[in-house]
Amino acid sequence: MEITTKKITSLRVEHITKRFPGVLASDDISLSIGEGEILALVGENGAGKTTLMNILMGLYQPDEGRIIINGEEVRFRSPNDAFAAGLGMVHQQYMLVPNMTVLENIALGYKQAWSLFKLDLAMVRERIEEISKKYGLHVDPDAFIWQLSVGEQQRVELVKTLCLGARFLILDEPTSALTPQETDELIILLKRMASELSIIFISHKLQEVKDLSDTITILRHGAVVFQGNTTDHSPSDIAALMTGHEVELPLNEEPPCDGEIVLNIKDLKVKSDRGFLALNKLNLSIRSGEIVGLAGVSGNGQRELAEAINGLRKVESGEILFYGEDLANRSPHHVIEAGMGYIPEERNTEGIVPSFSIKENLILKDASHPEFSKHTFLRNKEIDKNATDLRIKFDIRSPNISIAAGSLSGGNIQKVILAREISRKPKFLIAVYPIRGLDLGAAEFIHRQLLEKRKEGIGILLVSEELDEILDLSDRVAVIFKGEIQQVLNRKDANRRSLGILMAGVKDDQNI
Amino acid sequence: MNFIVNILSLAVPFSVALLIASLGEMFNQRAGIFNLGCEGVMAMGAFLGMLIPYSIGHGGATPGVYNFLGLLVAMGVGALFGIFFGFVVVTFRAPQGIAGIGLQMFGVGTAGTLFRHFIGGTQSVLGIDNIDIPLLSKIPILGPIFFTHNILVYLAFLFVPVAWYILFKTPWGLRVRAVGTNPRAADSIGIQVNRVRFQALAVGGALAGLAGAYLSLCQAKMFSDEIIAGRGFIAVALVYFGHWNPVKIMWGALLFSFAQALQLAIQGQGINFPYEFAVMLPYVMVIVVLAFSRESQLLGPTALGKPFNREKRT
Repeated sequence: MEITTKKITSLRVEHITKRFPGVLASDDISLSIGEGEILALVGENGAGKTTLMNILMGLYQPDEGRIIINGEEVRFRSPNDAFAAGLGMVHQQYMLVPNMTVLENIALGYKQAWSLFKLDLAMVRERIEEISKKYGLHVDPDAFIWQLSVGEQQRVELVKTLCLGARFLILDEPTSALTPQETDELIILLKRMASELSIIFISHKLQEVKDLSDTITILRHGAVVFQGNTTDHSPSDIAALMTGHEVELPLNEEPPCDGEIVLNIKDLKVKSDRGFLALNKLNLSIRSGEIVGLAGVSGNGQRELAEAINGLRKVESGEILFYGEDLANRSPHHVIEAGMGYIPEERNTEGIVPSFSIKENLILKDASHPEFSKHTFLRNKEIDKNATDLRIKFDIRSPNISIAAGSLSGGNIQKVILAREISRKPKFLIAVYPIRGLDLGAAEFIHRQLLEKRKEGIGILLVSEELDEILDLSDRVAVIFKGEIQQVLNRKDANRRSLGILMAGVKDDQNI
Repeated sequence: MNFIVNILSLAVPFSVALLIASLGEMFNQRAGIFNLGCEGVMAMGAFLGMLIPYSIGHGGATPGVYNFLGLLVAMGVGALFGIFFGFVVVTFRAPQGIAGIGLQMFGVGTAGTLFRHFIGGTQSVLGIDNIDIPLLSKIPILGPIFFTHNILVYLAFLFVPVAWYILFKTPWGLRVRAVGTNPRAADSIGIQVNRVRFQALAVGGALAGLAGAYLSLCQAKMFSDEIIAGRGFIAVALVYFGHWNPVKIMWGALLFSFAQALQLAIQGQGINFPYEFAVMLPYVMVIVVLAFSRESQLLGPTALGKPFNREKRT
C-alpha cells in the first residue's frame, strides 16, 4: 500500500462482524467519524471496543464488513497497512520496550530511518523534535522507558504514534493510569489536537467522555446500542445505556466511627524490588468499623505497603501493630492466622491459582484446617458444600464449581477471592484495587460487600487510584506519595480536587 | 613468566569456539529464544566442517579452499538447524527448554552416526594452520599470546565489535532486541515478530555451526563424539554471564578458557593436582556467576522463552 500524507476527512466502518470461537465479538457494527471529530467509544469490559479497534488497526481480520477512508474502501492485512493509511493507536498497555531509549522505541517503527547497515538516529531525533514542537509534547529522546513515569510513557506513545505519521488517532482507555491533573492536561491536549486530526477515544469514565467527545457510540455485547451527540446526554443516561440497566454504586453515608485502633503502622520502612526505599517512615492507623481509602497514583508504595503487612515483603524498620501484636517480618501464614484478609492487586497471579478449580481456590487458605481436612486427606464433601454455598451467596457466575478459576471473567475471579477472604471471617481486610478493570455490575457488588463488612465492625484498608471509589466508600482518606502519607482527610474534607493535588505531591495547603 | 605466557597463548585459541557459539546464542536470546540445542548444532558443524576437506579434499591435504568450504557448509547446516528449531518453538510454540534438549541430542547423535558411516575411526585432517603475523608475533609476551593463531581466531575477535554494532546500531538489531523484550509492542508497530525470530535463529545456528567446525578444523584437527565436550552448554551460560552483551561475553569466554588452559598447564607441570577438580572449574564458575548476577534482569530480554501469540491475552 502506498504511503500518503493526505488528511483523513472521513472514516466509516460498515457492518463489521467478527466471531471468535464461541463469541460474537463484533456484531454488525457501523460508525463514522468526520474531520476533526472526537468520537467516544463507550462500553463495559468485554463489550467489544478493543476488538473493533484491533480490526481498524489491521491486527484482526473482520469476518464481514468494510472500512472506508475518504470514500475509498481499504483493506488492512497487517498493522503496517493501517499505518500507511494514516491510522495510529495508543494501546491501553503501552507498547514500549522498557530497556530501550525513547529514541530507539520510535526508530523501531520509523522505517524511513532504516538502511541495511545503519540506523539513522539523527533523522528520528529530528522527527521527534518536529512533532514535539508542533503539539507541545515534550519528551527526552535519550531517556530509557523504564526510567519514565506512566504519564511520561503515555506522552512517548503519543509522540511515537504521531512521528509514525498518524493522522487519525485511536486511544484505548488513555487515562486509566494517570493522575487527575495528568488527565486534565491530556484532555486539553487532545482537544487542541482535534483541530488537526480525528480521534476515537475509548473509555468507561463517563466524565471524560462528556468533557472531550463530540459524538458517542455505546457498545454492549459486541453490538451498537446507541449513537448520538454527547451534549444531548447526561453521564447517568450514558451509564444506563452502557450497562442496560440503572446502576447506582453504593455510598458510605454512615457517620464516622470511633472504634478502637486495630491496625497501627509506625515508621514503616520497606524497600521496593529495585532496592529503593518504597515506604519511607510511613505512619497510618485504622480503626475497627472504618474504611480508610489509600489514594495515590500507583507506584507510590501501595503495593509494598500491602505486601509488607501481609508478610510478603521484608520490613526494614518500623512496626505493624495489629490488635497489639507486631506483624512486621512475620510469615504470611502467621498474618493469615492473625485474622488478616487480603484482596491482592494481581488477581490472576496472586489472588487465585488459575489452574485450580473454583472450589479449590475457595479453600486455599484453609486446606489444612480440620473443617476441610482430616487425617491429611481432603474432605471433599465439605469442600463442595462450601463452594456451592459461596457460589450462590457471592453470585459467582460459572457453569459449576469444578472448572478452573482462571477461565472465569475478571469480575467473577474477584468474587471468588472476595468470597474466600470474607467467609474466613477476618478481623481486618486489605483490598488493593478491588474493582480495577471490572464492569459496573461487578463493581457494585464488591462495593456493597465491603460496606457490609464495615458495618459488621471490620476495619478495611482500601487501596485505589480511582477517586470515585475512594470518595464513595471511605470514612477517611489517606493520600500516599513517594512512600509517605501526605495527609489524612476526613470524608467531608476530601474531594477530587484536594485529593488530586495531594496525589501529585503538593503538600502545602496554601496552594490548594 | 614463560609459564603464564604459555597459558595465555593457549587460552586465546581455546576461547574461540566458546566465543563464536555464545555470540550466536546471544542473538537467539536477544530475540527471545532460549536455545539449549547449541551443543547439537556445534557437533553437526564439527562433523561437516571436517567431512568436506576429508572426503573431497583428500584428507585435507589440498589447499585451504576445502577447509573454507567445510566452514561454509557447517554454517549453512547450522543455519538450517536454527530454522528447524524455529519451526518447533516459534511456529508450533513448543516449550523451548525441552525442544532445545531434543535438538542437542539430535545434533550430537546425528553427527556421531554420520561420522561412523562416512569416516569410521580416528582420522585427522591438516585443518587450518596457525599463522605467525610478521613483526607483531615477535613482540615479547604479547606476540605469542595474540599474534600466532589461525585466521579464525582473529575473525572471531573481530566479530565482537561487529556483533555489538549489529545489535545496537542497525535496524535489524533494534528489531531483534524489541521482539525479545516486548514482542507485543514490536507487533503493534508492524514488525513481524516471528520472522525476526527466525532470522535470529538462522544467524545463531550458523555461528554455532562455525564454532563446531572451528573445533574440528582448527583445534583438534579431527572429529570424535566428545569433541564439543559441553561447550555448547557453557556458551549458553556465557550469554547470561555476559548479560547479553558481546563485549562482556568475550571476557567470559576468555576467563573460562584461561581456567581450562591453566588446568592443562598444571597437569603438564606434573603437579599433583586432582585432574577432575580442574575440569569442573569452568562449570563451578558458571554457577557462581549465575548466582550473583541478578540485577541483569532489567537489561535482558524479558520475553526470553515465551512464544508470541498475537491473539492470546495475558
